[in-house]
Amino acid sequence: MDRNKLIADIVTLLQASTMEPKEKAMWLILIPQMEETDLVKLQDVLQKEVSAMTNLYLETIAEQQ
Amino acid sequence: MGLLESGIQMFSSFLGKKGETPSSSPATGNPFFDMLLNMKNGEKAKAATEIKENAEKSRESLFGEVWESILARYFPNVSKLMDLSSMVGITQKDPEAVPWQNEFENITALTLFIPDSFLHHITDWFANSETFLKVLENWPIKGKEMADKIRNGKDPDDVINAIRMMHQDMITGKVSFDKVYGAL
Repeated sequence: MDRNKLIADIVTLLQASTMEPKEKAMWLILIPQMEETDLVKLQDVLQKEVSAMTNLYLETIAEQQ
Repeated sequence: MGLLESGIQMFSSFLGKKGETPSSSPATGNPFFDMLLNMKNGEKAKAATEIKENAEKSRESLFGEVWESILARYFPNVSKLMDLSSMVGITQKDPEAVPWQNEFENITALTLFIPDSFLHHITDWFANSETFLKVLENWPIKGKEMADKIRNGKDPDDVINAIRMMHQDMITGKVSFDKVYGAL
């Protein structure tokens, strides 16, 4: 995957993650120094977390309706 | 109270079941996820906390790898001292990805105390090897910079630092020789 596209994807996912702002800032600083394999791992971890939280949110709404 | 906060509070009470009050979980900066995390005694809050904790564990493990890689590239002396401190038992040894990993890291870390005049006998072979320098040049992040430094100075420490960086990337599977040779 194109490195810039990968980083753009991670930055978007970071905003949606439950991590504290300090950790978000830390990853934003580390990202330019990270190798592609690590970037892919980070993207995967974030994607899993955000998808799981979004599903939970949708389930909660469905139960209330 | 701002419009956003009052909206969030209203939505929280909508999401929460009767008798559930918000707990004091720290804010994540994401209002919707904060609501899920703050629903007290709810199954959903438990599930949300589990997702958050699992993600934290995964990121922590990834951070360890990224940090080692950054140390090897930008702070090689600190990286060597950390290896030495694990060798003498001050800090915990890293779990080995390959059987000789810690031995290799400890031996190369010990070069901090070996005079350059001794090290030259070993490192000059690398510093004069165009193949080694070509491979290093194509190494991701800082590879070219390190190769230029070795070409210009032939400093034994630079050679050791480059070898340590390459070793670290190889054992963690971040870089494969195919990828580097492919770029040659």
